[in-house]
Amino acid sequence: MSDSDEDFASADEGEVDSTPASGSSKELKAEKDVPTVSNVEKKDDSKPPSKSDSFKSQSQENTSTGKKKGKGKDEKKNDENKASEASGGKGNVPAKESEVKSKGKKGKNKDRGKKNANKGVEPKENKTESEKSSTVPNTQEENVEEIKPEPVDISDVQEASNTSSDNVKVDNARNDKEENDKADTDVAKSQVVDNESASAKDNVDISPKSNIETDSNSGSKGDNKDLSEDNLTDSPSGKLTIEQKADMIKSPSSQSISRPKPDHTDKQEEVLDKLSSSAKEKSSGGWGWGWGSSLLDVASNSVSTFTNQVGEGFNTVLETVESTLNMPNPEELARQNTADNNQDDDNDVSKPEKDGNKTVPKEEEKSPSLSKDGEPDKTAEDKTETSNQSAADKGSSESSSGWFSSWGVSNITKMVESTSKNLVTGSLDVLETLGKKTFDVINEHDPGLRKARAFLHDQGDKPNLSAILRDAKEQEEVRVQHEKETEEARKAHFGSLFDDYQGLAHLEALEMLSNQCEKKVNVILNNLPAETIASIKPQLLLIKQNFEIDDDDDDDDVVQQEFDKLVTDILHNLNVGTTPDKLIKTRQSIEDNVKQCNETAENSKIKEIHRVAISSLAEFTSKSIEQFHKAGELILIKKTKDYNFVDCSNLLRSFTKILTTETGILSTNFTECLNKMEGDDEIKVNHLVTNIFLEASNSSSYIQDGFRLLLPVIQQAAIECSQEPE
Amino acid sequence: MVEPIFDYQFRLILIGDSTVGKSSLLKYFTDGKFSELCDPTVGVDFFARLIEVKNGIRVKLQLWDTAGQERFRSITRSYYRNSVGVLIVFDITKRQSFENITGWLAEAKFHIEPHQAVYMIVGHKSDCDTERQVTVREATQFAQLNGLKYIETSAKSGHNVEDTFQILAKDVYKLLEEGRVKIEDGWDGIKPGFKRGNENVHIEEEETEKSKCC
Repeated sequence: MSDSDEDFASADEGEVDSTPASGSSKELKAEKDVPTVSNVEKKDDSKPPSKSDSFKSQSQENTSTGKKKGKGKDEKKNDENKASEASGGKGNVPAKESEVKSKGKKGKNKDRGKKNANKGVEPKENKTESEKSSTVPNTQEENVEEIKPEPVDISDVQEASNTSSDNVKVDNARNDKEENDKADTDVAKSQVVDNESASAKDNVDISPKSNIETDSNSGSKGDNKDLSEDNLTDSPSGKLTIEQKADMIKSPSSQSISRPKPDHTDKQEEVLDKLSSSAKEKSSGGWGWGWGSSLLDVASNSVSTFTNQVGEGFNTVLETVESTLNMPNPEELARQNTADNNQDDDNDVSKPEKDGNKTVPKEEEKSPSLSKDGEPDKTAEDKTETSNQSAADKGSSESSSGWFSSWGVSNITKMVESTSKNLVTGSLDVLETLGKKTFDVINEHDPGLRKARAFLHDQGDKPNLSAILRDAKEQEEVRVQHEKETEEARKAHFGSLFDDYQGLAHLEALEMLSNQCEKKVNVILNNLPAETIASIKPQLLLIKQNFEIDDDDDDDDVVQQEFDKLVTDILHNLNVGTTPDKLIKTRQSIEDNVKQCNETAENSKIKEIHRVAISSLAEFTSKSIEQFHKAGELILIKKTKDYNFVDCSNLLRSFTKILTTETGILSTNFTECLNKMEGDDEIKVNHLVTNIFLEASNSSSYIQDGFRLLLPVIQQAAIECSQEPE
Repeated sequence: MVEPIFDYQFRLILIGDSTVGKSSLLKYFTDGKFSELCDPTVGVDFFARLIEVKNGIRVKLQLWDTAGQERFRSITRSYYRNSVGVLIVFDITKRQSFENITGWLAEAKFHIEPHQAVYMIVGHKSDCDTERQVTVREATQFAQLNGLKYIETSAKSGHNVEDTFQILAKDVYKLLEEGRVKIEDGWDGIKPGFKRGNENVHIEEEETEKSKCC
């Protein structure tokens, strides 16, 4: 096995290299086709399944007639030669029919041709290839045989469809009748040789056909047709057609020939030869030989198969198994088949039982045809070493009794085998390949499958469902608790309260207004003539200065201020039509709140006082922002020419200071209220007091933000007012 | 006071001529009260109410009540952009207010697009049917012509007030479900609400901080 594997590798690598080995001129031509050889060989793998198809095709051939006869003549010659030697008396007529049948299918003509070609051409090649020793041809041929039937056919049909043009050229070049003659003579000789070989050939024949069939099915039909058509047209000149066929096969075959050499080492070749030869010898013994020789054949074949097949030895193993398993079947089937009809055989390989319905004569006809097919194959003795399958077929066919019956049986056995092989090899191969590939893929990334094991192991270590559920429950409890807390906190949360009092909305609206004003100011300034800008600039700068608030300005010591009056005065001076009504109202309600807090000074209400304090601050801040917002809006639509925007900004600055101071006073009032009940829960009270002061400063910063947002508004108003008179 | 927990905040804006009753409509919707006397709105005012647009989906409607006065027109334009719903209100007893709707609609669309928004036409003061100057039919036709819904309301009787906002909010929510509008930075038409859970405070803080920064 290991050797065979090596052969594999060498075959893969050496395909190109192999061609040079056979140094003939043809080789050069063949070199072009070298790739096809490789393809062919790969296709060998696909071969087994196709057998059933081949049978079908045969059946179809029977049904089809007409044109085929013309071609049949070409082959008739070969057939006649063969037929004469063929022990079967049915001779030429059936043979013709059979050939007609075979030709009926386009691909089959090629098969024929190829076979012939294999037989006829290969010898030539051997001749032409002076390099090779006399022994070499045998080995080559063997290899060729093993490889060829499959590769050639396929190459002709599929790959050769590509290379068909090449083949044709080759044909033209080679249209030597001598070659035909040689081929014929070779055929004749080969025919003389063995029954065994004949049977082997049958096997060989089948496999190629099957290949063709499958190939044609798989889409190279056009090419097949072309080829067959060529054959048809050429048919009148029988030899030529054969030649052409042969040539068509030649190029691939030559390739295949050239190939094997590197594939097999001399030793291997020797071994193979021995094995095959021993098989033949035994096979000549007739009845009793079957098992051992077949096994030997199988063994040799399997070795060679490995060289041919890319990567998978399954077929061989399976084939050996099959060959042993299938052996009994042929005999059973033979009994059934005595009354058989060919058509069913042809039509449905998988249903051998149907054959019983068919008429004997047809079968007889067919068997001779097959024998003819086989005989040409026989002609090439060395080549008779067939594909793996053929080896199995050999065993089965030869184990059966008598010539005619053996042919018929061989048919059936072939069918059975092919079917079973199709099923077994097909399915098993797929499964094995899949499994192997999967393992390879996994193993490739995970040597020793450590990760996979670790992964699976870890799965077990993961927390179980109950633990997860327990965690989830705990989390949910925490979440609910947290929700309660946050909801409670939100009630005293400055931000949310600020939103509730629409302070946030006013701030956002003011922000939108401010942004728009800023953009507009930039646009206006960019479009104004320099002079105008110069005239406006001082005013704008003054306005801007008024918006630069120093934190030091804050006079935290102010404990009391006449808020209502101050605010009213300022807004009145601002003279934009806004009144501090809401603001004053809000502040008064807050004052009421503070008083209320002082009166109901109970420890249990610490939180409540805190909430009121925060809420009051939020409301006050909201109203402050709203005041700024309204002032801004009104300033913006102020169309009074004499309006002093510097003063306006100054007033707003003062207004801001009053508001921030007021927040300080309000917060202080609430904290004082809280501090009175400090006794019980000092830490908590301190915490709340701190929070109130924090929010008061927060409130102040909101107010200052609101004020700052007015800058672009006033700037725009100032610019627009200065522009309007002009 | 507004219920604290809600899923989304939709910003709706009311536009239309002065004295058609925008503020009264909003006051009735938010307070359930109607007052004959109402100061003209300066710039924009704000109202808010929580409604349920779907089972379990609570939405805070932030209602922007714009000034209808012509002198505020330049200012109110600034407020269109962040709205996801627009109520164009006219007074069925004032023909002119109906005819100005085209202008209001165009202006709103001009400032809101390319953002998606739901527009709706509201014929207000439906209680004053005897003084009607705009028929339901022509108002409906106009609305249909623009692919909009038309509804008649009365802040005095409360007729259709609730439905108006429900319809608008549900249409907006449909847009949201369809993904044609979504919560996005730099656009306040739809904002995430105070969700149940820890995030409440954080969201609020973030918002306030954001506004502070600016």
